[in-house]
Amino acid sequence: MTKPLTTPKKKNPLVKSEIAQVLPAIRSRAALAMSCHASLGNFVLQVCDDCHSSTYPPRDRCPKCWGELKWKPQKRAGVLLADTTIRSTNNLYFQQHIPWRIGTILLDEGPTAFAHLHGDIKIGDEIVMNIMLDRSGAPALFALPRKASLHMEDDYQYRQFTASPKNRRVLISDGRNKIGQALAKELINGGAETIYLGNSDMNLLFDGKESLSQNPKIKIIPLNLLNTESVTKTAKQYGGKIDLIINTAYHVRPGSVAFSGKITELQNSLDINVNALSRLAKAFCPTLSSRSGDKERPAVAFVDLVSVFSLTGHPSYASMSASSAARLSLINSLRTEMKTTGLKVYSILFGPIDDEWHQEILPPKISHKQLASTVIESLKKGQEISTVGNVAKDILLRWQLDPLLAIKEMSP
Amino acid sequence: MTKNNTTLTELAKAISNESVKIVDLTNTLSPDFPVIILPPEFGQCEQFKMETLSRYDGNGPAWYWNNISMNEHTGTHFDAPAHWVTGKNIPNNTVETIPVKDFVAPAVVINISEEAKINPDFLLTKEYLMEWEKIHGKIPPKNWIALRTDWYKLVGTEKYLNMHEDGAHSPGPDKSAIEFLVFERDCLGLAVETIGTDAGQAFDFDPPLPAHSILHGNGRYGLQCLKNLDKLPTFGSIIIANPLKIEQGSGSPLRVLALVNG
Repeated sequence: MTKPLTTPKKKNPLVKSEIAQVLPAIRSRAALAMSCHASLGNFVLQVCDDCHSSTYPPRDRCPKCWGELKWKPQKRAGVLLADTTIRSTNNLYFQQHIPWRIGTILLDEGPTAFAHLHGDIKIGDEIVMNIMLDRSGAPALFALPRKASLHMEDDYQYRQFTASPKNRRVLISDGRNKIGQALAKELINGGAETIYLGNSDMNLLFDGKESLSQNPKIKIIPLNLLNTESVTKTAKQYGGKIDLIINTAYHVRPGSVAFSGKITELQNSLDINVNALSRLAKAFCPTLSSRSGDKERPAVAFVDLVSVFSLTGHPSYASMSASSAARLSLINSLRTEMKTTGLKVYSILFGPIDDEWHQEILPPKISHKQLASTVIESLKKGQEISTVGNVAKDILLRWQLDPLLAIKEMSP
Repeated sequence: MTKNNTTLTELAKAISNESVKIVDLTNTLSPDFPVIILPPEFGQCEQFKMETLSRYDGNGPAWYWNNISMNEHTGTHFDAPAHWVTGKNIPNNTVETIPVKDFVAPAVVINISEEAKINPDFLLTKEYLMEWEKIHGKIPPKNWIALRTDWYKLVGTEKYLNMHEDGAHSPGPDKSAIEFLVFERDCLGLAVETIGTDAGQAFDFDPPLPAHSILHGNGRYGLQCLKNLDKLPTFGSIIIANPLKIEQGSGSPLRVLALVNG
């Protein structure tokens, strides 16, 4: 049974931190395609169109008959046949993490595969197979116990693939808005050690401040995302103490391109939805990257919350969706940039929120709590891209099938 | 040497030997300085923003400079008559057309700091001003009316905007005071240390925001977010307030100075 995590001990200030090592980057297009499925939490394998056999690792053609391979969802069930523990290796990544246990899994669908193992699995146990992304963004098979065990998320090997908030010190970039506040509460429930809650305007009271500031785990700190100097200063002060950043900055105003929209609102949207992300990344990511290999308290992830209309645009929310598209593009670039550093980048695509700014959109809408819960679940599962609400789920699905059609379907 | 030159020479000498002192009435323009908050469905006043273009680095090895942006009414700023709907048809109502002689003018300081300390919603009334004149003397025409509240000492705290669920709470004039100052004392404008020339709760007055409405509707000006009005005498100071020459500008951030006898 997994031992529950204890509070990490204080770092010896005289010990040099380890540099994060990451596994080699993906070399084949097939492996990249698998990583895309993995980023959405799907379990797929390549199946041959001709001989119908499934195969792993990813290949360009069927190894049995040279037939064409197609990605198909697979049953996750399997059994652990054999295991071994790596205790010595030339691989720099595994040198940092040995002993490391791997095993042979017989999947119910037929193929056998090597997989990283959760500590609670013994030979003969039934497992649930997942494709997870390692710190370099490469897909890897990871076997979890069929039946969730107590403190399962605390397993050392599993934690290398996830960013569970337990015992982490988290920065919420905008703690004044309702998303940030809901997230602070969920993070505390998820076992976060400290929440640094960004306050963009120390001169102005905000709803919820009083109750939040009573929680000893929450520290309200000055962080004006529109001010590069403020973000830089906060990064210098707190960057060494933050393991996880969640960017909750969000600016939304209804308005079309030609008739009802305002240039000033587009400017505001770009500044909050795009420039703020850039300021945060520039100020914090170098520091967090340098700590992503720390044994006790690694910096693990940068999470960005972005409207699903970033994919398609929305005629009645033109500025918000345009700036969200730019934001999504920026976060995609950041994800690639961070591949060599070991810092994972997560995107949470959300549908319309049930608040005063989305009154013009018909239900279904999501609550702030629902959004916050999805963030926590994604971090716990190590899922890089998640959707919140049926609208977001539906739009992403349509966009995956046919992006141009998905855009056309946004007509009012 | 002409008479004018003699006056200026004497002034230069007085400034040099500090028998005339220069008081800075300006708050530092920074992203942290508060701006007025309107109901969220309206367009919002943009705070001061600054991005470094280069600072002796690869983007400019020997020079330091920044890109800045802000609203015309950010930081210590000037309100032109065109700022308010009542002043939209006044001649020369934007900053680039205002007669420049109006940018240098004497000031009368009305001190309501004690009252404002006790009651943040304190209102200056005509009655108060008439009582004030009995003690200090009549307010001369074409003066800035500098309303000293010591509010600038609250900058950097939540008490400066003092925004609550029912709106902001800060001192200012009521309709009777503004009508008295404009129509009976022919003031040049109202100069305040608070975020606006109107009181925090003035959106609920009749007429709403009487200082903006009456001042600008009659071609008078506003100066907001000042500091150091407590360094000025009741009479005898001169305020220098030159807004930027923005085409069709409704106002402008500016450096406001006062000349006082040393």
